[in-house]
Amino acid sequence: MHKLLQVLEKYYIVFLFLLLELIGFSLLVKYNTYHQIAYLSWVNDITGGVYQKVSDITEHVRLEEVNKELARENAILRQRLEESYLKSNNSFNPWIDTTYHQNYLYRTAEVINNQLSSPNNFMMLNQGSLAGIKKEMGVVNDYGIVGIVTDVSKHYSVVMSILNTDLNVGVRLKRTNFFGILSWDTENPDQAILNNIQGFVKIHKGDTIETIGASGIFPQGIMVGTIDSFTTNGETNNWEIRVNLSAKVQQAKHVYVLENIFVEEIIELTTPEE
Amino acid sequence: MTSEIIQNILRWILLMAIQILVFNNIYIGGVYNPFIYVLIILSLPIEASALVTLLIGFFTGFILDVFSHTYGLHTMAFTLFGFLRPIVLRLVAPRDGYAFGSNANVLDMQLGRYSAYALLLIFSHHLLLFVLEGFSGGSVGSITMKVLVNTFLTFIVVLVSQSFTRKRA
Repeated sequence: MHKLLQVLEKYYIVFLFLLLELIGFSLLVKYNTYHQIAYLSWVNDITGGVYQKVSDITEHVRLEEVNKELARENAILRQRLEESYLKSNNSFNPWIDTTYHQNYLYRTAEVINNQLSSPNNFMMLNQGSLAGIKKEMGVVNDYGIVGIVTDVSKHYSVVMSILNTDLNVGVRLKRTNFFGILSWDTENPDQAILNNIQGFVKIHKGDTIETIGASGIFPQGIMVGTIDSFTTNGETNNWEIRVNLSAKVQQAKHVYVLENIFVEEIIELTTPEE
Repeated sequence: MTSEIIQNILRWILLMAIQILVFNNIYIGGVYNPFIYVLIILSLPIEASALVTLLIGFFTGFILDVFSHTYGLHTMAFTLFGFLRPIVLRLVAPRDGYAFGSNANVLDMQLGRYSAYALLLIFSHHLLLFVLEGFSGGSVGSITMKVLVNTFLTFIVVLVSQSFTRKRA
């Protein structure tokens, strides 16, 4: 016993080191997977407050760019106004009033912090549960999909961006409707890898990739990117497709958080009954 | 003594702010960013005890993790940094030990000794950091590349920072 105490006294720093590393490792394992990200909302409020202050300052530098983005967006919205549509009384081609079929609500938010230092990147938005944002909502910008909300506090929310190896998004080829899984391979922040498309499917450089909308997080047909290059995987005979992401996630400033009004219906339908 | 503690606390705040607000947003070549916060432990007084250094490493790493949503990653890497620092200091010490009251900077330690000290610690820190990060994706090649390039970048930034140190009167 006395000897043991002596050893402990001599090497206590090593034991303490190992203990602290163990704590670090359990944090690493526990809080870094998609579904297990901690609900640390008080931490969010503190870090969010800091990032908001910085964002307020740096935003002025980017005003010109942001204005252009907004103008572009206005143009698109104008195109969607009622007067931009052709009204037809032809009974074979009735004009459908889409407002009665509203499926997704768009909420605007601003990116106040955007990490790109690891294979698992997150961004922080300046809107939280008070603005109606909930976990598992999709996030897009004008150019394409950006990520999924993983954590919400009162005034802020954390988004797992598509530049995160834990996030896999179901997508399809617009031209042929074949399904695949999109994930990030950490090589290039502008590109991601599309897997699970079988070798017999004909693909071309520049083909458009869009969302399926099966999980109810993103609507159908939201732009994801275009095909940059592709090779065959010898083992599975599937395509390994490199996709140019259309949403410039690194520079994303204004984003939309999407709420699917019918999401509970989808969840109810897809979870097997007990 | 008190002024030294205050000086170290101020340095901690300054370096954390620079790391979180500036360097975490700089990506050289798309994926590389220097970790200037290693200076927090690099610049501690040479007499700082192993226990204090270790605890500072753990605490600082955790705070940085909170801000970058990488729970555990910097905690583990910087705890290792804090643990190794007294060992590396002893390893590169001059034959008759450090002069009393000397600081861990280029002026007091000479360029060669300081470089060995900083490089050894930065490399081991970055190695653990990127290997842990790599578990969730990334090939051996890209991890090696990240470790080497980032070690180089951080080392350069640390050396540049040393040009701001002045000899104490």
